[in-house]
Amino acid sequence: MRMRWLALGAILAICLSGGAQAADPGLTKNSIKIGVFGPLTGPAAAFGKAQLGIRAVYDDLNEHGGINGRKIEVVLEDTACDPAKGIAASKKLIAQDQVFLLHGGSCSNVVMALKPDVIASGVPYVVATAANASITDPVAPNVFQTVATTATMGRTMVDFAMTKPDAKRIAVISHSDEWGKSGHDPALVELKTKFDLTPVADVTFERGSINATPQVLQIKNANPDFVLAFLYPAEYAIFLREASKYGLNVPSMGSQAISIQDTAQQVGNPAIMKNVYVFYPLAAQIGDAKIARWVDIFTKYNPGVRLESNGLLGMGGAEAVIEALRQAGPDLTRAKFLAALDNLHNFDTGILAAPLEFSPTHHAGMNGGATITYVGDKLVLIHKFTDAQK
Amino acid sequence: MLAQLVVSGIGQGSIYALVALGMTILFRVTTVVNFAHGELFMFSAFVIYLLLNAFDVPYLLAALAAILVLFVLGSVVERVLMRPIRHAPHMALAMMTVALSYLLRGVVRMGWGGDVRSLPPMFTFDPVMLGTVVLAAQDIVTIGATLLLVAGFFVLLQRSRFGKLAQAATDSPRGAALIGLNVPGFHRTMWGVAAAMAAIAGILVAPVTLLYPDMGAQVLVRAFAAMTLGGFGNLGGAVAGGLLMGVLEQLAGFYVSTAMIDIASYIVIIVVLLSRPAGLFGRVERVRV
Amino acid sequence: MSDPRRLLWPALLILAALPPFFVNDYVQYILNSILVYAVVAIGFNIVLGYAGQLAFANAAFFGVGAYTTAICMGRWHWPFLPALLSAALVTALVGLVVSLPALRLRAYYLAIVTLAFGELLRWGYIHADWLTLGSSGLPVPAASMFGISLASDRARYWLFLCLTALVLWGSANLLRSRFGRAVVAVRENESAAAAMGIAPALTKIGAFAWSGCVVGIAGAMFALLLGRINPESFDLSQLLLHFSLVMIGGLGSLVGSVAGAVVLTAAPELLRNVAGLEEIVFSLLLIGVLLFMPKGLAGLLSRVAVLREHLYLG
Repeated sequence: MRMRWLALGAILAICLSGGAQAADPGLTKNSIKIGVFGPLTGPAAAFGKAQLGIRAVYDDLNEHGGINGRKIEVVLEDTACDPAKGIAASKKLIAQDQVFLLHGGSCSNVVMALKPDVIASGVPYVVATAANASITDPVAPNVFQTVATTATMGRTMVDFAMTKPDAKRIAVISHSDEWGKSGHDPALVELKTKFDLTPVADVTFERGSINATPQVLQIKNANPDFVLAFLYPAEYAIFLREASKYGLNVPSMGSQAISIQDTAQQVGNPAIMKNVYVFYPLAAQIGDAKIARWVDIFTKYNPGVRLESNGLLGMGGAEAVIEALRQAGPDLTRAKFLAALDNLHNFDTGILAAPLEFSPTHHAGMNGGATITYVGDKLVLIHKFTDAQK
Repeated sequence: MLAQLVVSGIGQGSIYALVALGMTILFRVTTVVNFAHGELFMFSAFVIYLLLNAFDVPYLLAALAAILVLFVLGSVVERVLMRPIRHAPHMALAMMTVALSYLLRGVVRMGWGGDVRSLPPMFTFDPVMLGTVVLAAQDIVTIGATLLLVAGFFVLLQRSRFGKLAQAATDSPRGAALIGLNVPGFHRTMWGVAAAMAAIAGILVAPVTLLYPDMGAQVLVRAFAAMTLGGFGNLGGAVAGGLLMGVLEQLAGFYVSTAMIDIASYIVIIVVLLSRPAGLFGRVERVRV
Repeated sequence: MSDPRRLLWPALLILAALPPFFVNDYVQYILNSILVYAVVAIGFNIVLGYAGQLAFANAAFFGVGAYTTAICMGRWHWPFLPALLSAALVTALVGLVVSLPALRLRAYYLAIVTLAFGELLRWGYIHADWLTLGSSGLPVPAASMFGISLASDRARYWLFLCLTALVLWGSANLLRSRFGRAVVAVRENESAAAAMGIAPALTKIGAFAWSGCVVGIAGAMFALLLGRINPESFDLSQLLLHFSLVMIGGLGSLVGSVAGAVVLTAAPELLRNVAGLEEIVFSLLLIGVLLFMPKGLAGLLSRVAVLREHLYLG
C-alpha cells in the first residue's frame, strides 16, 4: 500500500518538476544555448571569421558573469557555404541540440535555403552577416538581420558615387553569382529612380578569374566618372591592378566584403589606393580606440586568427542579442526575446557604423554605412566624396 | 583596341600554355591526365609564400626550392599513389588525381585558411609600350619562359636519345623493360618533372593571380581547353592552344560579352571534340582503354 | 516450398520504413539525403559501371532533373507527380543527347566533353534567369501527392523510400533482362557483341537514357529535399561526390551504390566537429579505396557469401 503512495508521490513530483521546466528548449537555470553557424570551411571560409567574432563576444560576456544570471553556451556548426550542409546544420541545432536561439549565416543562398524550416520552427534566428535583402523581405516574426543588406549597400554605394562633383557616368562591374547580383540589381534601381541614370558600362567578372582586360577596356571605353565594384577581395584587387595598367584611373568603390588594408597589400601600390573607396560597416577603422574593445575581444578568444573587418562584422549582432536578452529579463522565454528585439530602437552596438533599428514590420536592422578610404597613408571614414581632401 | 586585346590575350594565354605544357608532357609519357595539375601549381605558390614569410628566404632561392620540393612531391605521388594502380582502368587513375587535388586543397586550406594572400612581383620594371599597346613585364617573362620550355622539351623528346627511350617506354612498356629500361623509375622522374613545371608556372603566375586554395581550378579548365584545341599529346599544340585560348577569351569578352569569358573554354572543348577530336595539330593517340 | 530468401527484400523495406517514428528532424533529413544520393549513385553506376563509359555528365543530369522539377513546380505551379515525371523524361532525353558523342569518343575525350557540357549547363542556369531565376535560386513550393502533404521531412522519407525501391527494382530487372546483358556485353567487347547481333550504338544510347531517367528522378528528390535550387549545387565538387559514391560503393554494384550513399552522407555529418579536416578525410578515403579496395564496399560485402548473388548483376 505504501508503495502505491510512494509511486504516486514520485509521479506527482516528476510532473511538477517537469512543469517547472516546461520552458523553451535551450534554457536551463544557468545557461542559454545559442546555435552559431557559418562557413567555417570551404571557399567562403574567410567570411566565417564573423562567427568566430560572435562567439568571442559571448565568451567575453560569460567571463563577466553572463546575462541575468545565465551563461551562454555556444554550439558551433559549419555550413561550408553549401545549402544542403547548411540545412543539416540548422536542423541539428534545432532538433538535436535544441538551442534557444540561432545566430549565424554568412552565405545568403544557404540562409535562404534554411529559412523556411527555421520560420516554421519558431526558433528566434538572428542572421550573422548574410546580406541579401530577401532574407527579411517579407518579414518573418522570428528572423532578424543585423548587417546592412546588399540592397542597402548597393544604394549607399550609388549615393556615395553621386556625391562626387559632376558625376554622371557610372560604370558597374560585378560577379554574376547570387551575391554579386544582390548588390548590382538594387544599385541599378537606385541609379535610375533617384538620379535618372543608367550605367555607361555594366560588365561581369567571374570569381576565380585572373584577368580583367576585356572588362577594364570596356569600362575605359565608356569613359566613366566612377566605377562601382560588386566583387570579392581577390577579384577586386586584380581589377584595380589591371585598371591601373591600362590607364583607367577613376575612383572606384568596393563592397562590404572588401577589407581595404588587405586590398592595399595585394595591390601593392599606394597611388592606386588613392582612388579606392570601400563601403565600411564598422564604426571606426581597425586600430582606432573607438572599436578597440571588440578588436581585443576577437584577438583574445581567437589567437592566431588574422583579424580584419569580416571578423568584426557579426559582433554588432551579438551585442544586440545580449541587449535583447537583458531586456527580456531573468524570466526568459523565446516570445519575450523576440518582443525585445522587435522593440530595439536606435541601439548603438558600439562596433557598427549605424545604430540598429527594429520594429515588428522591419527586421533589416542596419540602414546605412560609412565609406573608408586612404588619405595619405591613414585610413579615414567619410560619408561624402568631398569629405576627403586628397 | 584589337591589338591590345590580342597582346593581352597572348600574355594570358602563355599562362594556360605553360600549365598545358606540363600536363601534356605527363600525358605523352604516362597516358595519365593529371586532374591535380592546377593544385600542384597552387601548392608551389604556397610553398614559396611559406618560405618567403616564415623563413625569410630570398625570392630566387625560394623559387628554386619550390621547384625542388614539387619535383620530390611529384615523384612521391607517382610512387605511392599512381604506381600501385597503374594497371587499373583509366577511370581509377583519373579519380586518383582528382582525390590528390582535393587532398592538396584541403592541406593548404588547413594551413592558411580561406584568406587571400599575395606574393610580391618578381619583376618590377615598367610595362613596355608598343605604340598604344601595353605589355606588362610579367607577360613578357611568362611568354619567354613558355617558349623556352617548349623548345627545350621538343628537343629533348624528339631529338635526343632520352626522347627515344621515352617513346619506347610509352609505346611498349614491356618491350622497354626487356631491353633494360627502368620504366617505373622513368615514370617517377617524369611525374617529378611535370610537377616541377607546375612549380615554374606557379612562380611566374602567382604574383599576378593572388594566392588562395581554389586558385588552381580555373587555370586547369583553360589548360584542358588548350590541350584539346591543340591536340592531346602534342607539345607545340598545347602551347599554340593555350595562346589561342587566351586571345579567344579576350576577344569574346570584349566584342561579345564579358559573360562569355567563363564558358569560352567549354565551348571550344565541345566544338573541337565533336568535330575534330584530334585538335588542330594532334594525331589520333592510341589510348589504353 | 517458397524460398525464404525471397522475403528478404520486402522485410528490408518494412524495416526501412520504421525510422521516421523515432528519429528527430535532423536525423530524418540525413536519411532523406542518403536516399537521394543512393538514387544518384545507381544512375551513375549504370553509365560508369555497367556500360563502362567514362562520362562525367552526372552532375549535369542531376541539375537538369532538379531544375525541371523546380521550374514545373515553382514557376508553373504543377503538382509534384507531373513534375517528377517530366524531370525523368527531360533528363532521359538529355542522356540521349549526351550518348551521341559517346558513340564516337573514347575514354578521356568523352570525359572532358561531358565535363564541359555540365559546366555549360551550369552557366545556362546562371544566365537564363528568365527561366531559372539565375543565381538567386529557385524556390520549390510545398508539394503534395494524391492529397497527402509532402511538407514534412517524414512524409518525404516515405516517398523517397518508395522511389528508391522502385529505381532499385526497375534497374535490377532491367540489368537481368536481355537489354542489361547487352549493355554489359558491349562494355566487355564491342566487336564480339556486334558479331552476336547486338547493336552497340543503340545499346549505349539506351544505357545513357536510362541513366538520365534515374538521375533525373534523383534530381527531383533533391529539389524536394532542399526546397530551393541554386546553380552552384551542380558544379564540379558535386560531380566528385557522385564519383566517390560510385567508386567507394563499388563500381557495377547496385547495392554498393546504396552503401556508398550511406557512408558518404553519414560520414561528413559525424565529422562535423572536426572542422577543416573534411576535405582531407574525404580525399584520403577515396585514395584508400582506390588503392586497397578497388571494388569498393560491395567488394567488402561480397565476402559475405549470402549477399554475393545480390551484389553484382553484370
